[in-house]
Amino acid sequence: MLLSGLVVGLAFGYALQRGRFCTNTAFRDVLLIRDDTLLRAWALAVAVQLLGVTALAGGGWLPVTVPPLWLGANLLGGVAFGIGMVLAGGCSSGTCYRVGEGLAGSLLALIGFGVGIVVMAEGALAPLQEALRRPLSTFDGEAPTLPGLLGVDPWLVVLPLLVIIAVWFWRSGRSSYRSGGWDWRAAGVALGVVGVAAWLASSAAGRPYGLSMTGPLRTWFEALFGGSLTLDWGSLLIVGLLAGSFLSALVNGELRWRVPKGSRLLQSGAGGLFMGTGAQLAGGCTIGHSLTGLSVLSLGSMVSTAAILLGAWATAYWLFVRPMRRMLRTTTAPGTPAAVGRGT
Amino acid sequence: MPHSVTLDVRGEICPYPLFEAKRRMEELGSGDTLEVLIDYPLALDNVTRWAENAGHEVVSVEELGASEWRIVLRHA
Amino acid sequence: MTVIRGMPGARAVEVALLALLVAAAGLGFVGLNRPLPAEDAVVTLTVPGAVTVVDARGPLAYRQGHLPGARHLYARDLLSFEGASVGGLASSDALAEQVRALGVAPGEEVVVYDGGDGWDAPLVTLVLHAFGVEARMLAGGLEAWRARGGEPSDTLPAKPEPSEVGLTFDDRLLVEAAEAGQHLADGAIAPLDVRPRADYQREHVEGAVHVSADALLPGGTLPRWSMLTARLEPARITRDTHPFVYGGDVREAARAYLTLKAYGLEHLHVYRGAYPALRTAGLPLSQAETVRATSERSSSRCWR
Repeated sequence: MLLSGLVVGLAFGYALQRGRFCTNTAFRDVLLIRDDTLLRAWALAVAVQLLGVTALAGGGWLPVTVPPLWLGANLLGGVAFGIGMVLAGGCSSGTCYRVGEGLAGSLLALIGFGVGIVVMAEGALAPLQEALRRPLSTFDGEAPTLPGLLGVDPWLVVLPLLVIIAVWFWRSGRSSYRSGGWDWRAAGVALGVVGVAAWLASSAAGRPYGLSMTGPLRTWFEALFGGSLTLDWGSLLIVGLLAGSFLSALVNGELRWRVPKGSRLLQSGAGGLFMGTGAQLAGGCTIGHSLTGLSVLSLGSMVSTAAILLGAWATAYWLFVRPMRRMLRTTTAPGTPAAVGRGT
Repeated sequence: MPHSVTLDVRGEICPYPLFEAKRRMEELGSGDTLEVLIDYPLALDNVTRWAENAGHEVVSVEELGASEWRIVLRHA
Repeated sequence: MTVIRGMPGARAVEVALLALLVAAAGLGFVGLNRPLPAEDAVVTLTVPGAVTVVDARGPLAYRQGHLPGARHLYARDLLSFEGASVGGLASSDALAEQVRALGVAPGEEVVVYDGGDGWDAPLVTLVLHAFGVEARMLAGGLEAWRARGGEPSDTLPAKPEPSEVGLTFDDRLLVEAAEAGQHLADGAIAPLDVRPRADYQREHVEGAVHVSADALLPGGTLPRWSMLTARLEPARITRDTHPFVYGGDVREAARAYLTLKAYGLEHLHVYRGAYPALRTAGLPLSQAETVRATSERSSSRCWR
């Protein structure tokens, strides 16, 4: 049953690459170009998983573990992760699938990610993690979920959420330009389906959770730093992810070794470090929390995702929006026919 | 006399292709063309989607090789 | 490198990946939900008369209707209500007397049942095991048996002949606090806390891992196979572990014991008392989430 990790990873990596699914881009595009296409893809993936996992768990066919709420750790870790992913030009899964496509920058980001995780988990920053994780918030002895907090059946939260998401989608316009990859609907559904499959396969292999990157990457990097490698479901998932995105890029003609200039490489590495420390502190990344954790309505994941959004938007504003605004103010002279601020 | 500017952002990391394209477009006037050379699939989606939203015309998208494109945009 | 261009190649890969994914998910679903093979501790049907049946419920419930020919041993009568040992088992001599009065002997096959919620039957089963009697619990209790068409009777059977055979108490199975403390210090046993999670977090025996008794015997029935594996693996409990099971009271521990035995664990030790007595016995206590014995990593790791 362990091998299923490899299979799910392959499908995951393929769907990520083909669907150009990157939570970083999804969050950032809303700010940068006022476009929510990728955000919709992400919301669709969460919605599909919400539906599937709630149904399976409700029927008693799937044991569900909920990521815990450590308020301080979730907030600080989330913000750090958000900063990191904008710097690195990709979130955790985005970075991994881009390694499969051949981006050198993302490879450096991945290395930074792993190093960051290890430093926070057992290196110099470990005391910080311990301190921020000590106040563990529980509700009724279990990790808090939204339905648990409200004291209602999960479906009473899931169904309204699905309706809201459906209305949002229905009111969105259509992009007339069709890209070379899958459109947002296919990407969202594919990721959602992979997520549900991951829950089933992983739980049957003794790891009662769904898709996540932080723990598996930790296993690999700890081994790299002189530990022993445990070949568990998670570690196989990462191998599959890299292989799947490589396969997708190969088969669709998008495989290419691309090396950015030095300053960008440094930026990617630094971003990776931020991502790693943040993800380890918060107990999850944009996959572990913002995709899988949200599918079980974990409060800890909601806090983490909000914090990631905050960190990402602040960084994107500082790096990209503010320079644009300043540039617009200085280059606009009265009488210029150029439409100022058009399409910003 | 319409300008024509070429922007080569091949090898750049996300989101610099989009950012640079946006920046250069602001420096141009109505009717000018911006030729963007990219080698990253996500940038292809991003740049064209942005251009559409902003009202610019996507004149052409040409595949130059494995994962390499030339996008020609005309300022609105 | 050769590049497979065009739609047909990609399509084939996508179809193959989808098929593999569905297979993985399907296998996962089936694996999670296959029934626990549990012949050692639990039986799903019983024909009264073929084996000795014992009703573990209270006297009133027993008199109103029981499996035909069932003998009666109220689980509560096995508990101690004196002072420090409240919530735990009565003395070994008192227990032996109860078992002897029941008329069962070591080696005899017995089936124990209760209403179906799994609070009384596991305790009686546990005590019978401690005296070498091969007892098994009826899954789902009287409820389940009725649902399969059983007709309870209210005829009281003849009082059984007390068994003449001497009963030896297995004190490796049911341990006292002091003994447990000694074995823990030697590292021979691994403490397993089966109380509700909030109690565990407040305070537990140092080094104890946690699985709630409720999760181990949900609603009085055995969980499905890998649902159990999914609960036990994070706690690093395998067939080779020698767990020392303790609960808020001995009934809680008995519930957990039954499932663990059904799962195939052989080296089980159950604490015969209630949690407060562990404290007074001076066992080392802690609040920290535990470092698991076989792992070098620190705790709190599943939510990655």
